Amino acid sequence: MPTSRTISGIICLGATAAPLALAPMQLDRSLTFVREMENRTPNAFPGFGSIDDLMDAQWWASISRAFEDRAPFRKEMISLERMLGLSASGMASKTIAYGTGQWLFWYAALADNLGSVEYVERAIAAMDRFFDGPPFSADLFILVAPDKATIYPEKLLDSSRAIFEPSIPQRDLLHNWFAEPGHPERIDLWTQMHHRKAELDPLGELLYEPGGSHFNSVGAMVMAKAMVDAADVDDSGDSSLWNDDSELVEIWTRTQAPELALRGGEWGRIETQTHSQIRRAGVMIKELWDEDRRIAGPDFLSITEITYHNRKRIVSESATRRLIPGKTLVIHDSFIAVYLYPTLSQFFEDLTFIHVGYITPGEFRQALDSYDRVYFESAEHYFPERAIEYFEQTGAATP
Amino acid sequence: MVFSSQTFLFVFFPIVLLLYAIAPRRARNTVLLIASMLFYLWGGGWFIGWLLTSIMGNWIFGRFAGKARDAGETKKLHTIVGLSVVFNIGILGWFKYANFFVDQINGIAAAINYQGMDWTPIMLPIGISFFTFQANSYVFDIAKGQGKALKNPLDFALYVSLFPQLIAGPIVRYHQVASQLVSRTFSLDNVTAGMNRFALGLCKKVLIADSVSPIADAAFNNSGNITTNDAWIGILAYTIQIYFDFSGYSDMAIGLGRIFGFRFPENFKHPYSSASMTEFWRRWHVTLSEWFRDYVYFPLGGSRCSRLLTYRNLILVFLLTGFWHGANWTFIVWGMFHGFWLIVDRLLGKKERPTGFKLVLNRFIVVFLVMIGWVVFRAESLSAAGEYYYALFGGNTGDFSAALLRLVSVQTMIALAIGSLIFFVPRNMALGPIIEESDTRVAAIFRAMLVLVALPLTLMLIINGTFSPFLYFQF
Repeated sequence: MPTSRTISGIICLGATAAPLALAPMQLDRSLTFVREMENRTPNAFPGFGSIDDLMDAQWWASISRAFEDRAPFRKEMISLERMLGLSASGMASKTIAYGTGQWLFWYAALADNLGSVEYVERAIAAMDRFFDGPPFSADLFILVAPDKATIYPEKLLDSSRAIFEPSIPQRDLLHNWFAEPGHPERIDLWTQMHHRKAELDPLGELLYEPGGSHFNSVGAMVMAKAMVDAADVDDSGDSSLWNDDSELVEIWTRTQAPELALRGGEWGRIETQTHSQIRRAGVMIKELWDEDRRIAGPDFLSITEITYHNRKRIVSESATRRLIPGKTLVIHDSFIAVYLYPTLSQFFEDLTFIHVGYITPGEFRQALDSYDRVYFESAEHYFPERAIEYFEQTGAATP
Repeated sequence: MVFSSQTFLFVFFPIVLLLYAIAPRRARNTVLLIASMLFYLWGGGWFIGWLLTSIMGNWIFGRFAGKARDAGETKKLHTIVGLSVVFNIGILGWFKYANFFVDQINGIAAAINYQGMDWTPIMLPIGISFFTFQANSYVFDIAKGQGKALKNPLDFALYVSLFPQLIAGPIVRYHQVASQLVSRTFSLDNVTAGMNRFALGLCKKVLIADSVSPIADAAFNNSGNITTNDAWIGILAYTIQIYFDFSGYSDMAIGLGRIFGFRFPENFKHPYSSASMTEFWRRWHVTLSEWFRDYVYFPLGGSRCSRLLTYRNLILVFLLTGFWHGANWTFIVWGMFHGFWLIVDRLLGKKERPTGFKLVLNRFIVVFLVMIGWVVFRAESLSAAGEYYYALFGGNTGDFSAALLRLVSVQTMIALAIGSLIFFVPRNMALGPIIEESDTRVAAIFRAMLVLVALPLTLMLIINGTFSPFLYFQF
């Protein structure tokens, strides 16, 4: 008769051997889970080129990643962990903070990334010194995409608010700096978002995705308008371009688990999102560049298909519509990347997008003398860090 | 490749075990050797060249040492052993310590306004500290007559590179496995016993060590801004983490060895139950302590010399022990710290192990000192350690910081609570061997908990660790 140690040993052995035996039967299921719930293409097994591959730890690591994406019962194990995590700690994962109803917030955006008051003061001082420093030829505009919690603090649960509240002084510092009158280079989106929110609340409409970490298309248009207005102000203080017969077109509507729900493994939390862009009648995409590669036959949405970190350039033309002339550079993060590439391309003659992090502070400084205008956009919680990186390093020397 | 990865657990290990089981007896060493090389290539890449260099060099030194010993040529034997030490320390010194010494030289040069050396930092081959010590023990043991030189270089290659203990020990000395390299038993009994031990180690690492590590990391990565409360919870978490991580890895190695018919020495024997610092070092990383004892401390004269020389020997051994752990002043200070307390133990004189309240008090003092030592061991630099000590001893009173509280979940609290039991278990209760092969009812209960609760949770966490949705907001 087998002893308890034999039985337990065989169970342990089975636990390690069973996945290999079951993997072929579960393969499609695992790969579908990675595509749909992890929002990415499953890692492929690397090709074998030469003996050098065998000596490359990265080559072996890519084999490991390919195995991991094909492990059987991946969905069940991850869902179970999330379920236990929920019941045990009240949070789906350490990255998610809960709000009221279906609202979710990203932990890092609530507090962590913003840094201390001193840190924000340092970022502001860096920007002040930068503008007082050596001149540059471009018109530089700085703008911040306000965090969801800043615009909708009432949607935070008490536990999440406790994390958010210590960061309010830092946020106020930033907001006050941007709202200071007499500085057209500072685009104050907080005020504009709050105004738009006040208009939409009675209608039950939102500016941000409840289960995501970004604004939605409605919020995106507030940013787009602010950017166009900043470069094309008429006598009334508003942009005639924005108010022409631009058409808001629906790009897609999807019902799916939003990104924060995905991160938390809450596959059942479903949200319907509609992405819209502005298309202006008579504006044509003349050239589209993915780094140094010209894309043949570009259309309005081609730009959204270029890898996020690649430099994108769009040259537009129109016989009937006015475009903002000259060369424009937009240094941006996911807020613009997800929502505004096609829209912005409709307003600028020659527009280049560079994802923040893929331009060095030195290149940023050079761009200020080689472009006609430069926008520097960042999410609120990342702004101090990025301001220090780009403005402190490229500004005037600290006295 | 690490044991707690899906690739190892679900692909590499079952395939190697299957091939080993169906291979003819004479081909089993070859199966294990190929598997071990693959295992090293997986994480080490090109560094396998240095593993092979170490293997070839020490095998040749072993052959010469064996011949010299058989011929009674003592002087020649000493020369060969000396050359093998130079060879091994040369490899280890270059890869592990060259960056450190260049940094020191450049620091001095900068202080006196001289230009430092141009230097490209050298990458550290995985497991080099372990396999170098293991390989050198072969030459030592041959020289001491504790084993015969292996004729087949492949057998020696297997001894050095055997994947269960290649990366993080235990440091298996040649005389401990010499006969097993040639002949050993592969049986269901060994496989099941080894699997039990392996599963225990895996659960210790994943459920306890990995669960508490974020707290330790948060405290130590922010040592300049932590409160006294943060500092204490951080060092408690690290004390638990390092034990469960390292002893868990040793359990896995011992278990894997057993599966393939090897019996590796125990590496941890409830170190936090020690009643003195001397006892601690008989229970913590035992195979390293014994390596230094047999190959450094004893040859220096050990304690069979004057009191002052004994103290010198202790300090020297612990200086080397600290330096072995890493090329940083923090490890040197940590080694000296332990050496100092071993000398204090000696000054207090040899006594019977205390009982009752005195035993409790002594165990508390030892754990306290060990925790104090872990601060400098874990800190990135001496200045960071200084900041941590400042916070630890009341320099920054206040509640727990929000950043640390954020990491405290029910999972981490349970892991901390279970991990803290290690401070209270009886010193003779060796859970590893009990789980591995005891037939008592208590052992059966432990094993039932292991396979019904701990192992499923562990596998769940391992798979969950690879969940990585593409989330653009993180960029």
